[in-house]
Amino acid sequence: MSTFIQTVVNGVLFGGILSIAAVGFSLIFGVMNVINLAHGVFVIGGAYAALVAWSTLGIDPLLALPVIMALGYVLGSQFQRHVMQPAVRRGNPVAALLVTFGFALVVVNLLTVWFSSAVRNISPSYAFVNLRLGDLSIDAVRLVCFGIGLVMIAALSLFMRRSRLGRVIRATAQSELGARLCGVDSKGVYAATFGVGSAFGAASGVLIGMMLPFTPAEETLWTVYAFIVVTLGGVGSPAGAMLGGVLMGVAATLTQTYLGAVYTNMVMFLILLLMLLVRPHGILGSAFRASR
Amino acid sequence: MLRPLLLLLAATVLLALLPLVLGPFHVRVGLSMFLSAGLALSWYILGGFAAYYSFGHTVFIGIGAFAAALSRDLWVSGHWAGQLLLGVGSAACVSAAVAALIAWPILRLRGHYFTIAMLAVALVCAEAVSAFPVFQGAMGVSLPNIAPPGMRVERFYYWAALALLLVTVVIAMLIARARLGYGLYAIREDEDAAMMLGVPTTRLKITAFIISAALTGSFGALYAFNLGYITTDSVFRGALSLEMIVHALVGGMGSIFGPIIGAVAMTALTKVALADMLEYHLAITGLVVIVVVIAAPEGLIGVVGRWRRNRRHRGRNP
Amino acid sequence: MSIVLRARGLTKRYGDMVVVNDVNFDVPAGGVMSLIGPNGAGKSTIFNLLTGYTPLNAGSVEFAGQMLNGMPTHRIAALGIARAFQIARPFRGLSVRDNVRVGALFGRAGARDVEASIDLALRLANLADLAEEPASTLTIGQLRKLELARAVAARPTLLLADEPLAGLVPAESDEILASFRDMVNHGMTILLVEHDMPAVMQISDHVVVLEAGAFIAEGRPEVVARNPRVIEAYLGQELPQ
Repeated sequence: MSTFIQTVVNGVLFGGILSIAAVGFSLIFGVMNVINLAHGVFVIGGAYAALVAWSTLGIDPLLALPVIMALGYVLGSQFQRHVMQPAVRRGNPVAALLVTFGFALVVVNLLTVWFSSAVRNISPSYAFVNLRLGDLSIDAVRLVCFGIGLVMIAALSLFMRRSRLGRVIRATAQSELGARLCGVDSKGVYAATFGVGSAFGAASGVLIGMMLPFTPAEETLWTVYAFIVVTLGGVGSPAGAMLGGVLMGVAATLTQTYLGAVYTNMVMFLILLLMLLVRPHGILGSAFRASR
Repeated sequence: MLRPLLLLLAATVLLALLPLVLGPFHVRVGLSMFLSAGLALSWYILGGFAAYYSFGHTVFIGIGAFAAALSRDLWVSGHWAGQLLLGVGSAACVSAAVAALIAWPILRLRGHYFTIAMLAVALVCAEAVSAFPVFQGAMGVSLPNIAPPGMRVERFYYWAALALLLVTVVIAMLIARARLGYGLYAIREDEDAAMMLGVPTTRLKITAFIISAALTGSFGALYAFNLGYITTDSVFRGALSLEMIVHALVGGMGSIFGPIIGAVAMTALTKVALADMLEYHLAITGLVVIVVVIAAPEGLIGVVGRWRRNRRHRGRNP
Repeated sequence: MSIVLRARGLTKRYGDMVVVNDVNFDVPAGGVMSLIGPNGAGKSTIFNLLTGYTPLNAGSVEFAGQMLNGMPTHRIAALGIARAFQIARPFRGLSVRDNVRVGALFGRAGARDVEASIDLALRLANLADLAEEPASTLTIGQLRKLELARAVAARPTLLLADEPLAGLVPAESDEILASFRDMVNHGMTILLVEHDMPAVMQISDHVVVLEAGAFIAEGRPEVVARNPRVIEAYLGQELPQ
């Protein structure tokens, strides 16, 4: 029984990380109806940026986090404005998918050339501390990252509901034309939204780099993980990302413990496939549009 | 139909004679071009005709490769022609069967949900082939060399790939002129309007999907024979899915020759012109995708068409 | 007088709102029958019900000796009912001829005599001179003709035309009406939904009037036009004597 509880606890902790890794993707999907296939490179890029900060500059990754988020925002918003917008204007229905995929390829290639495909990780001084709670063993780094992730998701949720930019983003998501008729610069909103999504992706990368080993080639996996979280929990809302992430995390650890680690990804991808076929907008549905 | 067929035959004969005058490196580049072109055209049968963009078509390359490798006992003893036909044939059949199995649920999805669902299918299959020992995906499977004794190996596969490419082109040409083709065009333009005009959209989509899968699987088998030894990672590769799409885009999505032109151009670019920048292969492909989508959405065929129209205009108004 | 289509008890509800309420009518073979009524009368919904695009809540449709209930749209189309939409939905990437070809290939005749069906359809719709043009370059009047040509190419027994004259200038309207007369001469039956009353009076052999989803009158055009119930439905009250 204690194995089961330990597995679930691990799953929730892992799920929290998945949530924050997915929340940026979810926002972009919800507001702009774009599946950001470059999401994974922002995550992995964040991890590598934290690696540089820590191993080359001696800065603790958590301290570097805000700067890395800012970098992610700038890179993301500029990419959206100068590459995605012209691409989408051409009218090809998969333009955004193709262009983000292309961007992902370029970044993965560059990361592989700069850092090699060797597996890296970041181990700050508090890395291997384990907290004990009765029979349970909780990894300190995972707990800290989970906590930070929770705070960030709550902050995003507050931002979307209370701040002016958040309201503008929500309005544009529900009706772009209507928003423009009210004086909203929708192009700017989309760039900003993509920037925010990328910033959160990069932030999650910093946290992930501290918890798991990473290589450039894994970026596809993180994009797909984000998609699984979103199709499980719901599109566009931090709450959906939280729900989907925790569900997915628990499913992953349960599979790992009771079926075998080699089946974990397969089960994840099967869940994705099933959700796509049955309820692609997730349990909570789309935050901005009527779900089909 | 007759004139294009004759031209096609003439081109094929010319291409078939080339290995007699080219060195092994160029023959292998040619082989690579034929494989890429065939894969891109196979993808195009669903993606170009009906605009159902599959981002997971590598799944059929992998299924075809493993079907050929694992069906070894069927064909390992026999004449090389029989070996080739049975190996490729089992690949085509297994790929078609898998496609038939998943067609109805998957093709109910539209737009980018279909796209990602195919990606998910590819991921699931790759994991399954690795995880379940019966497929030997993790350890890998080797395929015997089936080239006839006395013939240079790269020439054999060059000719085999050329023959399969010819078959694929003929199939594509037949579809384009048939009821199936026009139905798929209608689905591409406006699926709901097509349905209301009497187009049996589900049935046609499934047909195109199965044909596309069978052809892709066939090239997967050839790819496997050429490699000699396959593992999950070598044949279920996301990069292969992307290449099929990029080749079709670069060449032009408006014609069945677009994927061929695009494949030839991209292979020439990456394997010949930029051969010493092999480590940047992915980045180049990514950049090409971005540039083509923004600057040349109609591909090379579109660019040439526009250039010719401009020349005609300038000729009229000097 | 043979009957091409028999509709009995057609009913369609969206939640509590009854959009079509127990409507009965027969469509006589050969000639033009018009469905008229104020906006919201349920006319377009009836077209959706007849073509199987929207499922019936109750009632039945009999056509070509079969009950159409539950039949998928494309099978109904293949049986011989073709529909031309009010908001044209051309295949923009295809030429006019190829647009019409799709209609021919998947209609009642299937792949037989396709070129002949296309040529006839283009001629009946007055589009022959635009055959090679891409559909994306057509004007609204031409797009309406394309809708008709695509439907006619299927060699239907019954053509459903949904407000084909909306937004057209008189010259364009006259062309469409002349096309209808040609089509009838070629053996087609036309069921028309239209607001243009002079056109309806001019072209129809039989008129059915609906209001708020229910049948209120039917008969020859001149008779229906004088029906006080019909006048009340359109004008809201009886005309002063």
